[in-house]
Amino acid sequence: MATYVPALPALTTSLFRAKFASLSMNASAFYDRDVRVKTTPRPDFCRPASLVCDPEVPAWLITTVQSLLDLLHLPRNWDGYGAVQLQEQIVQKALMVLVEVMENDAPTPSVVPLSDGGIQVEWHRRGRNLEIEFPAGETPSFYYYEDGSELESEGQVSRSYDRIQAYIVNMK
Amino acid sequence: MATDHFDDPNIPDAERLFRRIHLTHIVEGDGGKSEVSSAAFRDFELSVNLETVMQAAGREPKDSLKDNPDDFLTSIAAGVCRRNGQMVGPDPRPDEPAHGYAFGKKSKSIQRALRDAAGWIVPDAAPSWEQIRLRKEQLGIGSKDPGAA
Repeated sequence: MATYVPALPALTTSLFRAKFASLSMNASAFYDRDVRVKTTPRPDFCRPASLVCDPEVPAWLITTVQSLLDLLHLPRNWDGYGAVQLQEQIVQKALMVLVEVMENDAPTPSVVPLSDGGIQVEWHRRGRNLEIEFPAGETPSFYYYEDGSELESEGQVSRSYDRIQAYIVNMK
Repeated sequence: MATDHFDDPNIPDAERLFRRIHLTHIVEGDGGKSEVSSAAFRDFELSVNLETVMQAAGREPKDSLKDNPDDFLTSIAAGVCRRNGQMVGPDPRPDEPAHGYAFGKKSKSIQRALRDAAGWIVPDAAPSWEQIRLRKEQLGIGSKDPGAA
């Protein structure tokens, strides 16, 4: 039986089918739509548990939404240094960007809160590191670097979707 | 929060600045390791505890966790902060007389430099990602395993 969890962005299984079919989609077109993500328990025959059996929702999205929901419950001053609570609209914005730049089989990012109410998503895999920062009141930006190398790159997210997509693909 | 920040020459470059790390700021790294997110070193006014002030009061570094026992503790040298454009100064507070700051703009590369230079105090070495994942599950914070996908 499928269960539903309240989620944040305008993301439905049908939207992801469309993305899968076209390999390109403007997430902003779905802004302000119904806010639910379907999660389906894995049936026994699909074990081992690491296999994802529901082809409709990317594994990274389920995990990321759950992490964001957890972080939205953090109280004011969650870090003991005066941090503010996460802003839901920033979480929505971040999810829309992720939907835009991540393929269905992309590796799941870690999600961390920022003390100003924003969030940062980041990957650290095979010596490659990508951080996408969604601060409160500032333009989202990305930062990429490789371990043991002076190579680093940064810029505004809105101008760099192709580069960010390529970085994430190389994280697989 | 201090309003008149300055770089205090009485704080030597070798002085350790203790920075608490919230559980949410520890992420999965390569090869089953955990690592501290650069987000932990992002604040323009980065709160720290000053080692010499704690020592003078007979306090151990781990006492920085007295009000936040679930946090981790790292240290960074004042000189590292200065070389990355930060002012290091005292900002004593009633509840924490050893409070101080590393004040200044922190670009992503500076956040990374500060993070990379920070050493573990509590625990005394980086915990494994599995340890962190289990602790997050226990506390209901970002409990899903990013490595599952």
